[in-house]
Amino acid sequence: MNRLPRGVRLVLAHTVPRELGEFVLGDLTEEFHARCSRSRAGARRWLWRQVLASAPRFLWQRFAAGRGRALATLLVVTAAGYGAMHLWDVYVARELARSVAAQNAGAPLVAIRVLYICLQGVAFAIAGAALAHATFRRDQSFVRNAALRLAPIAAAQFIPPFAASLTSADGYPMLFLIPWLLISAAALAGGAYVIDHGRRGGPDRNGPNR
Amino acid sequence: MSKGRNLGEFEMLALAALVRLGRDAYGVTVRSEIETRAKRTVSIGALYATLTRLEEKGLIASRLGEATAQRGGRAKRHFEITALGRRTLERSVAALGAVLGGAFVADRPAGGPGRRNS
Repeated sequence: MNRLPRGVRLVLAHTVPRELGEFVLGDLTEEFHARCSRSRAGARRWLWRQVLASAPRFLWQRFAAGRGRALATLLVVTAAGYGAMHLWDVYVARELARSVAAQNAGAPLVAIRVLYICLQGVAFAIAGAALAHATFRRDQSFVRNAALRLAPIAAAQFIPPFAASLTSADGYPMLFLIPWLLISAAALAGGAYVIDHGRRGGPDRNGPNR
Repeated sequence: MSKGRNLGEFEMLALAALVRLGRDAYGVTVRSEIETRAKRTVSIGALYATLTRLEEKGLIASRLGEATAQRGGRAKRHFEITALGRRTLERSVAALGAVLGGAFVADRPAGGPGRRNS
């Protein structure tokens, strides 16, 4: 059977860039089996030397391929998000809250907070769409893409500052924390899903989860 | 010649191998050609990184080849040097030859080429 040893296939699957995978595996398979006819142990030693010498280079190629676009998108999305938050805080939310509090009106204050959460939901949906466009892989399912790419980026970029703003003195009470988290997560995933779904061209062209 | 067109040593070896192999150039044959002629070990990672870079520079082109049973049913990727690649290789070889040739002539002993005075 013309297959490489399991360990080798495992290492290559996680290092070789996808666009090269078929050719690299084919070349190694062809040469490995040619060498096996002379000495199986020698062929295995040769194969592992090739894999270990090549893995760091392949890994770097794989990383570098999507790095620029993903980083640029992250920077733009983060800057735009922080800018929008700042503008909203300075020019809208605080002034409204102050004027409403001055009138001792509880209900309008709740309405402002709900509106704020909705606007953040829209911002998160846009961020999710941008991140999906830049980082998602079409050959993987939406769930796998979201788990591997969207969740870590979202956690690193968006959760800490928002969590800090929620726990600050003029932030929101805990009552708003859970809906805020749920709406933000749903909006982020929703924005990403719309882009991911659109790029696949509909439900019957969903790529397999390889 | 712009800096982007300068070739590294391994790039020159890879291009020269493509010239020698003609239409039969793919990963296995290119690697074997360089190992045999240059007497150096070549990893498949280094080879594909270089070939990818050369293709991005427009010095080589690639096409999908046939899948065979020895390759586990996987296709080959054939490489071919472009006209630009050939010109670039010729210029690099000429520049290298001019520099190295001069250096060896300067070092050569008076007794004649390849002979040492003892």
